[in-house]
Amino acid sequence: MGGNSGTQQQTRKTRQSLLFKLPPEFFRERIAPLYPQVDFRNLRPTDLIRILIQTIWLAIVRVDSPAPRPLVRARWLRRQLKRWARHPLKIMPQRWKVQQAPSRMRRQLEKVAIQKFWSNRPLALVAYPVAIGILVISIITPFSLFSQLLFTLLLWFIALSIRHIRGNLPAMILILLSVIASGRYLWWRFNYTLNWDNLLDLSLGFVLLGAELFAWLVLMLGYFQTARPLQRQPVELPADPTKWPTVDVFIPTYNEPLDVIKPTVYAALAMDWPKEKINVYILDDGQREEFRQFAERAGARYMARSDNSHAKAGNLNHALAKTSGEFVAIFDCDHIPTRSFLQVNMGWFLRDPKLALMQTPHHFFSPDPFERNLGNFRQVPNENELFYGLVQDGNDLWNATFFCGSCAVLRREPLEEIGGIAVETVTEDAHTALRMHRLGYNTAYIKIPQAAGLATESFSAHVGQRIRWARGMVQIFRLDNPLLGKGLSLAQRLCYGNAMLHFLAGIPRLVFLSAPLAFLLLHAYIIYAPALLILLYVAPHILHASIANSRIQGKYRYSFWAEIYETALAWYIARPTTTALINPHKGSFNVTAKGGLIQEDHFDWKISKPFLILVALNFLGTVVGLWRLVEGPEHEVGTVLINMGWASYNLMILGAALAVAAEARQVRKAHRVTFRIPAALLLPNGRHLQAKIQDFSLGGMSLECQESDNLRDGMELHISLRRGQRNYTFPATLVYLRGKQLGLQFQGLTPRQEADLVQCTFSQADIWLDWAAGRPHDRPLSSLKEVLAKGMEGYHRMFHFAFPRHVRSLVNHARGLLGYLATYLPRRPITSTNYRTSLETS
Amino acid sequence: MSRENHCIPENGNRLSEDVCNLLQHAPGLCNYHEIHHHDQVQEILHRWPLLDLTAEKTVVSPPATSSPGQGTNVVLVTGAAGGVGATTVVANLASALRQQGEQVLAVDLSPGQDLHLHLGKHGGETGTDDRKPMVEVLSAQDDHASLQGEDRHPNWLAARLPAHLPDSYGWILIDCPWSAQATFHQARSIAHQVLLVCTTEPAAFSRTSRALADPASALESGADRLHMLINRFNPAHLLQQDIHTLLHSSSPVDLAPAEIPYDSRIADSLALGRSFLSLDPDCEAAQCFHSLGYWLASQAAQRRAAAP
Repeated sequence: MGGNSGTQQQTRKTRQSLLFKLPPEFFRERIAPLYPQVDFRNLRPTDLIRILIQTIWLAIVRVDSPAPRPLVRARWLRRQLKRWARHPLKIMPQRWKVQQAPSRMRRQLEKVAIQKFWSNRPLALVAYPVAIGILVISIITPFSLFSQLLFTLLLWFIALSIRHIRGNLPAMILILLSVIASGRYLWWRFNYTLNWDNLLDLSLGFVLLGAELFAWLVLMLGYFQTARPLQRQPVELPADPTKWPTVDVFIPTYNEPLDVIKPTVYAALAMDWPKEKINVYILDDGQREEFRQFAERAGARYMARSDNSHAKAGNLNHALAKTSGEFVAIFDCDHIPTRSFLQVNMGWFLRDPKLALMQTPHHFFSPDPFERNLGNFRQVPNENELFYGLVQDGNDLWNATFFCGSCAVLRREPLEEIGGIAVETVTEDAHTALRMHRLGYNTAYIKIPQAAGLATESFSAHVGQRIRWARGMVQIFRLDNPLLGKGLSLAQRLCYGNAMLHFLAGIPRLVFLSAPLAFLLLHAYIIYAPALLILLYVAPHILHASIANSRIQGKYRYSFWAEIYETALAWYIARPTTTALINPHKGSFNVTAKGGLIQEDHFDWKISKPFLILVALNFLGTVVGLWRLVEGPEHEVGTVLINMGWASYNLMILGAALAVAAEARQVRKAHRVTFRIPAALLLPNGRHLQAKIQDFSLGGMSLECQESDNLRDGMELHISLRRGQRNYTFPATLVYLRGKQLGLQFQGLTPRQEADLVQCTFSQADIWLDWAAGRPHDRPLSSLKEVLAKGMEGYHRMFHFAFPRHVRSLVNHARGLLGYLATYLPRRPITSTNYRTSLETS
Repeated sequence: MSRENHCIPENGNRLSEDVCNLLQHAPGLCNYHEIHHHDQVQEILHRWPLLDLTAEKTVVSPPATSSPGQGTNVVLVTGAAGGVGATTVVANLASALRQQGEQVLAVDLSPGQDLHLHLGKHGGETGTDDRKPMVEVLSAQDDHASLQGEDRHPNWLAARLPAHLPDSYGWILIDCPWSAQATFHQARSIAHQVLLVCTTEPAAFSRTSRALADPASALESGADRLHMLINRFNPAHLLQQDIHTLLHSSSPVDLAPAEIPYDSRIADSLALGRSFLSLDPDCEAAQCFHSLGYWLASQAAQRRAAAP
């Protein structure tokens, strides 16, 4: 007791002597805020100079004016506006609100909805044309400036009012509003905004209008495709496994390293399916002896062919001819299936005998180049998630799910009926599904990720892959056009059509990226209308499209991020698609490289050249725009401002595309997957510690262990994992130890242990289930803010890489020095209102 | 991405946790190791010929129990082979139940009378300070000796226990090896639950398998009463792993849902004269004893709910 109070006294004494015997509260509240750049709890010698400079500055310059308080009224107004933006119904008068309470409203609506006359056929026959008539009228009626403003506000109010109501109907209404707004815009654009008197204006105007028409078409088809995803559930298999069909698993490979294919083969062999009914084939187009030996050891079958004609499709067809299972499951060599893959997918085949294909999502556990270089892995959904989360599921409603080349099961009979996997195009998968559809077979999609793989490793590889897809889709469009030919329903044609249109987006995107230049540089009126009117038509078009899309896609895509993906690819897709449109037989199949390393941070100047040109043009446009503002005629100011705003937006999006080209280092050979499962550590001294895995790869794991006292760096130990009833142990070395966190590296795993490790990790049935858990729904405005911030970051990084390597460190040093010197500059003391209020509340 | 919830086996089909988690999205998945394990077992038996003791499942209706007070749960912990750690299990299970707030009486019916080593009790009355209130040891040495000679009092245990029982005891844990047949039969007749301790070592496995195959062993698995408890499992050894697999895939009796891993500190704590659960409360073995305690409690609750 005595000793304790003694130390307390001592500490108080030292503190007092430090603070010139002032009470600490006085110091904390009055003195410290005057020196915001100094951390008094951790004083450094140079702080004396900072205090001196600040004191002199404070003595000379008087800065005690608190930040102006926002007017109370204005603040209230802002709050009301904010509230209304979230829930417009809430600020209605109280009397009204009680009457129109949501539950009551719903009951009344339901009462109307369950009336019998809705299912009356003649009524429907009358109602549909009437509804379409009203739609058409609301699109084509010309409005004056004021009535267009009123109409815009009305649509906007409806949209904001129903935006937060759950259910399918509000989504449908939002789509309808968007159709009206966009339809009106396009109608108006076509009828009133083309300058027929000037040839330059007219031709450029037509180019832009064409691009807009394309975007409109994609938007409308997108609504059709994704308005109502099917969300198919798996069907139970018969309880007796002897009634389950036989499956051949094909794993085609060409030049990938053995390490990439190993986990896939182990996981395929470990799938929960009777052993005598499943055969795993490695289809090696590289004809590598190493692979044959591995297959033999692992218990898979090896198949190679003498020629490599038709690449992957040819490889699969070759295997198809030599095997006889009732079903064929296809995995790309890096797509590791979970143990439950077949059980989840096969049920539907037994229920629907016409079902020819069951596709599951392609899930990637490594970041794609966009995610890696923009630093938002798992925070913002990637392009892939929109397609597999929504588009394929939407296709499924119309029986138009197409084959994606991997993670799918096909029925052998229809596959052989169409002559095997299609070889005419470089996207053999979609073409195969199209042929099956033409013969009247069904396809299905289950949105449970049951296999996962590696995303493309670099931006250039990503571009290469997309070029192949784009070319392939356009080839199909030319050679076996889904809009023509027989056997398809209208909905199927539209879904396929949209999938192909998606890849033609390159040229329209480039048009949008350079459209403001037409006016800023060439002074061409491509939209021949007063600026205000343009705003009144464009704003609802963009706004409603993004509200509706945010509502439908919010879980799988955040607003504006797709702009980055499309912009980054636009230039590269534009040429091959155009070539393929003209001559579909040109070009070759290129294999997507995966599992590679990027040794150091660098900027891919070669691939970003087209963006740099566009950036330069848009920048020039903005500068010329400024000149026009100053020198140009007064009536053009609005138009100049609109075009400058457009160019600035383009600059930001292009900046984000540049950020993608700045490749971040990727040195880890095996990608870590975050997954928390219990494990046990077996120490050499016989102790058995509980631990929790934080993340894993096939090379090592990081864990958290509560009792880490016995652990030493470099220790050899065993880690034990559970799978069902069985325990599996793996020898490992402790390579990292900090507090409770530890890192293990596996050492000398036998092939058997490698297989077990895959079974305990990647093969777990639920491993990809909660991948997007905890990610909020899209919020368009904050999304826009983030995208713009990424754009700024892109320029920042480009400038960083613009200096040669040896100068770069000098530049960094100089920047660091400047930053350090800046800490000596005097600063504004913290004496504003927020400080006072914080005192009051405390 | 974490996995916390535990799968409760339904209609005897044990699902591993990952498959169980997927069930809500994909109904009807089944446990696949049941289909595959035949090959695995063959492989193991081929590797270790000694382990090839295919035991047939014997299901006999359980003998009528005449147990002490209705509120008391009697658990018999036994080992078919010597040295499998039944006494250690009793001691630590008693500690675990006590820490869960139960009153526990531990009854030592083993010929060695070693339970006091674990519980720190000599001569029948007191324990060390921290454990005194939780466990009492009933020494049955005299009766044991007399029983070995002649089977004069066929129900001496059932008769004796209530005398020792204040009503507050919720649990009676009896430590009695299977080899002490006469005593074992008596203990078995009053027990609600029997835990047959077995290690993943060849001798214990072989002895236990043979005992289970013997129709006169009184180790029949009727009405969920008999469970096998795997003790001292060290997965780092291939042989132990294989025996573990065999026990799981072809054991004639059900396995207790918890199993005790090998941990050198269990022996350490005995030598230190301290309770293992208080020495290392966070380690896996300690957690296993706790979950074993919770499982026994839930079984007892189920039984009481089923009884009229």
